[in-house]
Amino acid sequence: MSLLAGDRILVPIDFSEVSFAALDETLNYAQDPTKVTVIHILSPLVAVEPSVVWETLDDETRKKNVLNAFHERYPKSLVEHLKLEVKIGDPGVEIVDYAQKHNIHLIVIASHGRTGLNRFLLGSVAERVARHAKCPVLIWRKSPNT
Amino acid sequence: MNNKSQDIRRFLTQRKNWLNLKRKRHNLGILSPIIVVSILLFSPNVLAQDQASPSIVDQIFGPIVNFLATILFFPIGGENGFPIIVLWLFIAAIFFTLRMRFVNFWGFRHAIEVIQGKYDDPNDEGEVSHFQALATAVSGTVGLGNIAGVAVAIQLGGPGAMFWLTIAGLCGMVTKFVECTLAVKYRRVLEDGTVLGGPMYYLTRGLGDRGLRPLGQGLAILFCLLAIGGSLGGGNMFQANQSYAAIANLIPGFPNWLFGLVLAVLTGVVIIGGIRRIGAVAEKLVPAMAVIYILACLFVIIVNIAQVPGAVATIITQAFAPSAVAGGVVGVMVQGFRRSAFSNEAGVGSAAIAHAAARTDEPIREGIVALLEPFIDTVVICNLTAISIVLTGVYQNTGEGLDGVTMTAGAFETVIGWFPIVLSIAVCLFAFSTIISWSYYGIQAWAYLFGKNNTLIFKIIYVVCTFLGCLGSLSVIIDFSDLMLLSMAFPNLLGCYFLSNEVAADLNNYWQRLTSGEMLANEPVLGEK
Repeated sequence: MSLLAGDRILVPIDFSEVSFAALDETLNYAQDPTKVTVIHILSPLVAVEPSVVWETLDDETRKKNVLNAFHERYPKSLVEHLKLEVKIGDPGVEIVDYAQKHNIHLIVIASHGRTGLNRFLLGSVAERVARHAKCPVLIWRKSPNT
Repeated sequence: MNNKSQDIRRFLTQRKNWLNLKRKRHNLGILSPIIVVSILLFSPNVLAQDQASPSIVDQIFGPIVNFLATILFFPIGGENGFPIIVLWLFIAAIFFTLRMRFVNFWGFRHAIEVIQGKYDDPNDEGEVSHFQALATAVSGTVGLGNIAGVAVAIQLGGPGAMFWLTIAGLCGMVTKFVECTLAVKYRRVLEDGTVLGGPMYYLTRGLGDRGLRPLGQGLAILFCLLAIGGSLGGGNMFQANQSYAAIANLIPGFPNWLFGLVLAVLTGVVIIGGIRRIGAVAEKLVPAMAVIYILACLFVIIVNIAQVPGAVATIITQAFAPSAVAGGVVGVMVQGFRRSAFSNEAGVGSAAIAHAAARTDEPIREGIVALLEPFIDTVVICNLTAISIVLTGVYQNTGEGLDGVTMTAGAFETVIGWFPIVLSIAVCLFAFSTIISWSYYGIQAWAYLFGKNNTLIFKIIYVVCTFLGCLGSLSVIIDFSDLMLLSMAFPNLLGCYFLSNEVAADLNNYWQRLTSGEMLANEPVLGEK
């Protein structure tokens, strides 16, 4: 698959099973984990959140927590050269901006395939990335049979 | 050929830039129509400050309030019977008090030990300590309900309303215990350490575990819709309205639109602008103001110490044999229960959102801490206000202009001439911190429905409502707030009933481990006994 032969592949994750499946698939195809960058986007803390009012949680700690949570699933020894980025902001915007800034060749993003009301209310990050990204975007979906 | 591809490329670059620009403008794009519409809607009203004619706010909310009030306040047991919603809250409070075998009394001492930090473990999941979670929740409830709400209860139900308000507060402690325990038990801790919790989570997850997922989801959605309404009404417009009343009492003729504008800008700076300092300062000033307020009440009481037994006697006798109150004993009870629910919010589910953030791995422990909230709010502070009002006899002048906070101010004025000034400042601070706390509840409910990244629209509506609250008349605002806020109790308490066996079992289990000495986190609290 020549699409996955590029040097820089970006895989956004939201810690859902489907996003990890997309990452596993990408790692399988790409063979070399150094080619893959994983990105997770945190929403900014609201100024009225208890942890902000009492200054018990800051963005640095949150990023550290995300790294730890990620390495619980993907032990460092297995994915030594895999790069994990944690950004804060709107997922759609941050993913597209990161891809552009770092000359990403391909974005592999999982789509949740939400149905019903949520489909209209929540919108889709994958959809927005596909629309605004300046590089090819592969929208990964779990096949319906599995 | 080359030229053509250059042309295409140039076109694409231009389009790209345009799209980028559009994306960046996106946020402002949502703002502008709302600003324009609200200016258009309310400018004639702002210009023509005619007190006699009903304002646009009243015209908009009036029909909604009437419709909802017919359903929610449908009296059971005759014309002056219990409104459905008040009965619903009170039956739940009694049920939980019996089901948890009066944990509000025997759990009290442990609650104090927990907020002293004796059981804090920094390695547990969660955002803030037990004490900080309690303080956050208290600053959301201690406020105008304790000052204006008590005055309203006494005005409508006579001094006897205080007795029932206290009873409702004592039983409400257990309702609060149940909802906060569930909030911690069924919260979601995200990868970054932030916590999502509250009734919408225990409704979906808790009922989901029992095979009632569709019901849980439906109730959660209903709860969130009502919480959004409640945060805009009781958490916001009512607060804004009453803090304006306090200021207008102090500086007669102070234009309401100007006050509304200042308050709305301050709120906007915190919740939209993300300026952390202001919110943090306001939240932390509340305990200080509460202490000043309590001291002032005590001062009024000490000055009139001779009349205290008489005042207490009035409160108790009037509770059972009220004079000149529509509906007799039931009418008094209704006023007491209603204002108690509005003051401590037990059963409403709001505080559960704040308590869910506690750093602990023991849901029961946070529930026990939450017991203190209605105690501080209703049993202590509301009663102090009530005794001050009854002592000084201001409740007997039911003349014009004596509504809500003005009555309480009148009580203080008889003893300390300048105290109404301090009271006005306290009222504004309480109101502001409640507005800030409730914006968090509203944002959480909105985020549950529409996603975490789409809260800007809600924040804008919230700020606009702060402004509107200062323009409307009290009666419509107070009804709208009560309706929205109290109706949150329908989905919330229904879920609590379903899960109450679970909470009772967890409580037994916890208490056994505690008394057997198994639970000595960082200090041998029980070992030293």
